Amino acid sequence: MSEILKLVKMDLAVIKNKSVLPLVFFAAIYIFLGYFIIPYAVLVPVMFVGLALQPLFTIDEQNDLSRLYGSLPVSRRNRAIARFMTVAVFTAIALVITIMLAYHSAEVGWYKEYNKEMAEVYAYWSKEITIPILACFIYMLTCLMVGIQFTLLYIFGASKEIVAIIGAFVIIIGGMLAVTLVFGINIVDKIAEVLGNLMAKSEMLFYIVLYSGSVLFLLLCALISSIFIKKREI
Amino acid sequence: MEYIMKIENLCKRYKAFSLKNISFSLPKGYIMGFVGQNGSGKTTTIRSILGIANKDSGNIEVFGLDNLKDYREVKQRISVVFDSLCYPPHLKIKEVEAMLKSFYDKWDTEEFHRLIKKFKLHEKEKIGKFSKGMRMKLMVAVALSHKAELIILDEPTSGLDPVARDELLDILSEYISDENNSILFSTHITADLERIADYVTVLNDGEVWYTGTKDELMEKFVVIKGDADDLPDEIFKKTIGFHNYRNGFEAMLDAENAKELPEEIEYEKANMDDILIYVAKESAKNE
Amino acid sequence: MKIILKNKSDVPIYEQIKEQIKTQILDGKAKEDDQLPSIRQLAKELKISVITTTRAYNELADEGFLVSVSGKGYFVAPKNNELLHERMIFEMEQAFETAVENGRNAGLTDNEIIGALKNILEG
Repeated sequence: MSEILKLVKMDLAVIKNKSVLPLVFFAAIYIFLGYFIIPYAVLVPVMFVGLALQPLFTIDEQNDLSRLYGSLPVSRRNRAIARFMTVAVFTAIALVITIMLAYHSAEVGWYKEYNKEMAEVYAYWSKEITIPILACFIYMLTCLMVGIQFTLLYIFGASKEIVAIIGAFVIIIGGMLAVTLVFGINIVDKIAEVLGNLMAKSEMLFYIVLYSGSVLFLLLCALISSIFIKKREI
Repeated sequence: MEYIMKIENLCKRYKAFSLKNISFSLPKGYIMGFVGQNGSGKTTTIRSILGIANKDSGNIEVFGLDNLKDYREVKQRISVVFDSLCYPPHLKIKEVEAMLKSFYDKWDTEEFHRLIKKFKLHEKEKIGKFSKGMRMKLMVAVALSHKAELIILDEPTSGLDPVARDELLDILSEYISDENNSILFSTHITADLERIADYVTVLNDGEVWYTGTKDELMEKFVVIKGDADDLPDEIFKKTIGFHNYRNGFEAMLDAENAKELPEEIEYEKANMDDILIYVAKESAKNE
Repeated sequence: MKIILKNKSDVPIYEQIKEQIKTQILDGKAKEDDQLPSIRQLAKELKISVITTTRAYNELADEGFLVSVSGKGYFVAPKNNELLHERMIFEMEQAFETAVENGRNAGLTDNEIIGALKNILEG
């Protein structure tokens, strides 16, 4: 357990210097939009986590860090788990920051001046879908996407970044389509229905299920990845 | 005799190459040189010891513990120095220390800083900008900073100038002066080992060709030269890496057989380079 | 204790070490009960294998030049040590044999050789 924590800290320390700055630039655009168009836009940058953490794989491969990991007292499985927990932690940090900004932009209300129609839409939406609820949903979505993306990176290699991103999309959308075709249900509606029911039962339950479900999904991805790490000897 | 590391019948198959029944042991308190030409299996063996490569079969014991099952304790007590930087290059020394020290129970911060100063490493620069010699010294500083009892070096001097190589040998000499420490040093720069190594394991084509004391190996073979016509047949059969040139032949021979050589044939003691070359020539013939 | 090694020499390193230590003892530069550097210390200083220094010290101990005290190290043997004494006599006899052979090769008679020896003893 502490091995995993140390590895997560290591990942965060490595990535801190490398990738955060360029992505803050892209995030700034959405934050800007959030203040002037609709507050929810601020939450979008959370989904950049996959791009922000991707360099971890590139750095691993370019410097053959499997040698470093091989000399440290850590196991391959814990390495994989730690990598995915880094996703959970990093996304959570990004989420907290963007939530604060979203609230702030809603409070400041500049968007009301520049985009009156959106202001009305937002006022209407925010009764059903508050910032915390949307944030939680985005967390889950991000973990889903990045979880699949990183698993694909472990399976096919750190250099196949584009394959991984496209693959993640394909799997999610393709999976949804497949379920729709096979079972004849509109998966989007079904999910909305389930989430709505959960919400109705208790908001707390909604958060617990989605957040822990995301982390569990990441753990599942970690375990699948560790099989491929062992096979590919990295 | 206490063995700090025992490898028994290590086998590992790749598509184009395999390790076949690698067996050797490193006694505690000594330096073992691990030599062989590029591609002979040195790095694969080391990767197998560390568990980076999955062995197909065989036993690897370090400190009497299984290298895989007991990886936690084993890796607390060993250090590895590689031929190229194994840390993210955009970090500075402080960040490297912060990254690593939490993994080692016995990390000695004062010792690490003392070594950084002694090696004159720049603390404000990103380690990716270090010269090859400085990179190696950084890895050595890390290796010496958590009271490791076994240091494994995988071609640490490749690409280094003679001054840096000499400095490394100095550092290793000092480390081994404590009889609780042991070193496994893989290299194809044999001059390094001819002086300092206590034991030598020679790999050729994925197999152990010799394992034993260096002194014994250095006395064991001679290089013979002369006219092929002067060479008796029974001796010719015993030669290693025989090659006929325009001006005569060259080969290596077990020193015992040298007494039976006719006077016309010259011979002198074989050094490590000679041994590697003739062994390689011999297996090239057998392909 | 100063030991200087010649890497390119044909003489094996452990032999070189033995010779130089022996010379220092016989010359009196290394005195009785002087402690030698430990096997590992010497290996570190000369940057050579511990096995080589071990062999040199062990052989010198067998020949009576050094005494090994367990737990403490190697010391120059006391001069009244019988082995050492015998060894020194043996070395003297070897030197005599060489001297006699050289003298005879130079064409000297036995008496002339003895005369040369007397000169040295008196001078």
